[in-house]
Amino acid sequence: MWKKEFDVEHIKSFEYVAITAIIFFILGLIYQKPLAIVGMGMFVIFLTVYKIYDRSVGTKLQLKNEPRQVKLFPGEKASLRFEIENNSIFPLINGSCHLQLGSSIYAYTLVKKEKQYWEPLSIPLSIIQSKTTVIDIPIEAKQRGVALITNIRYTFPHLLSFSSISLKYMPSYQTEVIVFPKALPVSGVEQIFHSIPGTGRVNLSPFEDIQSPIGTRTYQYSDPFYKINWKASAKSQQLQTTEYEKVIDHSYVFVINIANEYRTDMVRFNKMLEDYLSYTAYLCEYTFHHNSPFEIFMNARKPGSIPYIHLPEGEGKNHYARSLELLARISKQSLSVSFDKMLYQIGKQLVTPKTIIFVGDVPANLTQITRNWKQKQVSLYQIIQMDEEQAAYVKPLKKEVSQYAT
Amino acid sequence: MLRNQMIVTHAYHFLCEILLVFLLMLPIFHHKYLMVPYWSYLLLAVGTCAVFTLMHTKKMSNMLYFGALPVLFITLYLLNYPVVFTIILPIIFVWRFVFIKKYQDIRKEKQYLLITCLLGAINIILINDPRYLIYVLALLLILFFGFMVSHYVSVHKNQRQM
Repeated sequence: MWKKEFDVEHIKSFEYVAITAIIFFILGLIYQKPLAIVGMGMFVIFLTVYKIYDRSVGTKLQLKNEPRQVKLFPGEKASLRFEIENNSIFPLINGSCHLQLGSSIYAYTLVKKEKQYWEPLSIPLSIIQSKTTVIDIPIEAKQRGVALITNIRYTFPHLLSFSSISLKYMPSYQTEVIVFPKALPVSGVEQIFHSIPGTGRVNLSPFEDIQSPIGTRTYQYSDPFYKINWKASAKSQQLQTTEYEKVIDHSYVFVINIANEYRTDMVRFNKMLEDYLSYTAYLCEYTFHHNSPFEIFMNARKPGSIPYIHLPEGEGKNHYARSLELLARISKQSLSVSFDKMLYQIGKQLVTPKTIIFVGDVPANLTQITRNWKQKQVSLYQIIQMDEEQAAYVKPLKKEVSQYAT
Repeated sequence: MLRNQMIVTHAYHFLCEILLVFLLMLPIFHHKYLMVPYWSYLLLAVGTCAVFTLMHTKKMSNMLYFGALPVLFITLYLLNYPVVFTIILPIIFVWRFVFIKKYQDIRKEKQYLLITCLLGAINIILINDPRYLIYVLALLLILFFGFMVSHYVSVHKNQRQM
């Protein structure tokens, strides 16, 4: 579990004493001096203790490593707890624990200067034998992403060689800190008008689910003939109309294009990525609060038969949390897949009318695809970013979509 | 390095150095003066180390350490040390302590160990007295225990009690 690494000069002390023991032994034999043999015995005892210490120190050190996720929004604070148990008979005193935190978080009590954010943390630590030592590192979420704790190393003085021993923790530490994207408001979302029949129950809608009658009411002249409930009318001796559940499709599909505007340049990554993810986070939050289902498509490359990221449709708190986690896990250097290919694949799945919101560029050459979607009663919207500001608004996608719209 | 740790480190470095000085002078004492002040030197070394360390904890100025020179001269004279050593030893004692305490982080254990082993091996040929091994043993013990204690004192009190 821990890989023991010694200092370059670690063996020197052992060598000095071993050579002296040999010299004492040789001189004792040559000059017939029992004193030299006594001296040699003294050194041999030391060497034995040295070897025992060398082999057993740090061997029974255990770091509690259970899979754990700490979920934070930017600016939120939490504490990372490390529990180290030393079951050895030797204490590990006056050492220091070094570890590297991911760039999404920083230990605000240990890192004082801005430049030190990228450097490994160093925490003075002594681990007493047969005890569990607990370290709490206060952290603050800085930016979107998933922060892992890597390069865990404990360095302490070797008490018999006057050098230091380093114990490197070999397994990957399974705690991860997920920093969700900061939601950037998108104005106009609330004005999106849903005019698509679906399964979402609402108070007012032109669509009704004829499989879900909710009661009857007095007939009005505008009511269609097929809605008359003859049984109820006979009972009440007055014409009655069956009332059905009002339904509408108030689900959303968020389609995010993370591709850089310079498509031929594979090295450059999209500078707007963070904004796009923040807008998406806002849209997810909005739909969650309005109990609307949503799904996400993003043209970030991933391994597997489907080369892009897809969060299937869902609703509720868990789905919202999953969507935020998905957005948090998008790498800043994420490679993209062709946006038109992804749209083509989405189009094949579009069997029912939907409300689709595009986040990111919608290239002009995709007009044909979007036109086909509109023929399927798909409502298309696009997030437009205001100039040099992070504020954005949503508006219907024009027929001739402009390149680099955001 | 914490102050407590620094004081312990300075103390055992000083003690090691003056015991090494003794191992260096041992053949001269043994062959030229035909007397070796094993015990008086050991007591003097420990006493000087204790006094100097106490002065160090009180953050006294270097001039006060030199003020200890006449006391050391008289002590050595009263202990019937040869005149040369009566003069040289106090100067070495004060010089070494003042020199060592200049360093915030002094780590000369490996050099001391090497010199101890060398002098131990040389003296075994030159001297046929088992008592000198006490010095070799004492040096090793001071080195290792001093090193351990210097680290131990840096551990927080709450952790020590666990």
